[in-house]
Amino acid sequence: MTLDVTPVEPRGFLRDPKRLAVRVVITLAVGALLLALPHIYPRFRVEGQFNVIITYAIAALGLNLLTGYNGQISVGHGAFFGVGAYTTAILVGDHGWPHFATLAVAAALTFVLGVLVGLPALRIQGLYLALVTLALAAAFPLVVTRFSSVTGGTQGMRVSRFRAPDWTGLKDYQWKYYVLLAVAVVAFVLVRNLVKSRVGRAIIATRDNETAAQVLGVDLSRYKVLTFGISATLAGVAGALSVFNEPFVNAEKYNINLSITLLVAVVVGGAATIFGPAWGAFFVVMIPTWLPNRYPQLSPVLFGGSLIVLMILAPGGFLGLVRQASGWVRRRSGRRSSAGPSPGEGHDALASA
Amino acid sequence: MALLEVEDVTVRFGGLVGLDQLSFAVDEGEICALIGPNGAGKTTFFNVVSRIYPPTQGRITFAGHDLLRTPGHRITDIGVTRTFQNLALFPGLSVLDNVMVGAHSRSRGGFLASAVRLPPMPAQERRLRAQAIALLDLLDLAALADRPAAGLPYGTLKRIELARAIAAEPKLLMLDEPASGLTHSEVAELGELIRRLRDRFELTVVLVEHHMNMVMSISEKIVVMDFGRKIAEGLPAEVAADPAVIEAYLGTTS
Repeated sequence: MTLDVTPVEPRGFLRDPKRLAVRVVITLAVGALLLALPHIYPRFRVEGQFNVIITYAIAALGLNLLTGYNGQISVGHGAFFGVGAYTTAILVGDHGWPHFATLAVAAALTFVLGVLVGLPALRIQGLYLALVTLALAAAFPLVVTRFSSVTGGTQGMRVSRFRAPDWTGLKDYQWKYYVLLAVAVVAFVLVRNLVKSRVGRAIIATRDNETAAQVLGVDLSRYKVLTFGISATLAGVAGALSVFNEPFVNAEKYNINLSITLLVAVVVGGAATIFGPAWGAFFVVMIPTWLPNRYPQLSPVLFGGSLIVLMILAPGGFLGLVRQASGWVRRRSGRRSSAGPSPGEGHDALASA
Repeated sequence: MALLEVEDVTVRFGGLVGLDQLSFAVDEGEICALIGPNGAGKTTFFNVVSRIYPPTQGRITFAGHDLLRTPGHRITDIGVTRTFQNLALFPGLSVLDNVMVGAHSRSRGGFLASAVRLPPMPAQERRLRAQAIALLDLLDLAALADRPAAGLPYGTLKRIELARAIAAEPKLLMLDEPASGLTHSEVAELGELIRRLRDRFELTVVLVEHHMNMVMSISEKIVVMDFGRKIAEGLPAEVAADPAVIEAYLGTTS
């Protein structure tokens, strides 16, 4: 007994050459812009903002896979980020490893840690899981301080800089930007493929209805634990890359604030969207720089206030807002040409990518 | 030949008895209805077969497998699937993706293969997608394929859940109150549809249902339950004339 297969037409944007063209143009333009950035902007912006955005985007991408798509809340991803950062710092600084080789170790280590946290997470859910992971975030700086002979504790440790090879002809900060961007592109493509596969559907199904997912054959424990592991890996790789960018670590850099910032990036960008974490990372890094800085004590308040306003205006995050707006535009233009939108064309090219 | 054999299954929740030594068998290709007043244990039985509740005692054999030794996520592998009384769709997925989750157990590929799109993955994805669309087409749902599986009329959502269950290519399809919340004409259509699907996909169907017209018209066998026990079993006409059934439904005058 098999299901009959009738030939089907290409779906979604492939069906519509105009939308396909728009998509290609947008992709090329965004790509060109991203490649040009380190040549347009000075070093302090690239190192202090763009590279930070990229590392946060990768970590938030991982957190979004776990929290946005799989429904497991983690307020502790700063700890995985920190483990990745210290792995690179210690291996490069104390053992003279090349930077790139440390990425693999940071990834493997944080995957194992993620799985270890994911196992007890099978038994706790929602707010309780948030609290447990919050404890993880709170404990990390303490652990670092406790083992200060290896980690440098609160004093921190400085490691050798990540230099551009001569053949590139690039300045160090530009090289760092391109390396980080390349890793980020690979990470986003892999996660996008994953989300749009049978595994991704199982991850989302588990979030939406565990009982139904299990009845349909989804091994809940396996998917939840592995999702935790992969999510932690991305945060760990992001942490390792952050040391490529800024060759200094100390206990206070990876505290609860970092964990919360990553969660904010996921929600502000648009949970359970592919590019939401990238937008979220952009906002959490840039908003503080846009706010008036005459009264530095007020900055956190203004930042918090602007987040509240953003979430009221766009409860689905930034990409949720984009999606709504593009749906509205499409409906209006549809009405003008008196051809109603067909179901399924309700998402924007960027948002659904 | 019996496809599903239930022997002496008892479920206790603390002091409450959900199922009390329930035994019956369903033949291959049969449409079997499970009826009884609310609280008779019909849904509890479904939850035992789909491995959500462990029974206190008893045996269930399905197509030669000891069903109670099969883990919950493996029952689709041996050919059992079900729908839920109060809808259990995935609102975060499109209608098409919901149906494709139905095919989860007959597709392969883990995290790594999916993330890097190893060669068999895209081809498998295209095949699953084409099958899911064909199935949606069969159930008049094709136009909704890309819509989220939420905010649609109740009857439509129920049909989507039916499509999702069939996408698993089951041998045994268990339907928990498929007609609840449907309009009068929808109920009649649903009865026809269940028959058609049974013939087309060579299914065995066990359904829990309160719409007696539908039960009487499509079932080949009826099992009547009350307080977790089986009080009657047989052809629709036999069951309808059974004094124990009449008593359970209408009470006695004594």
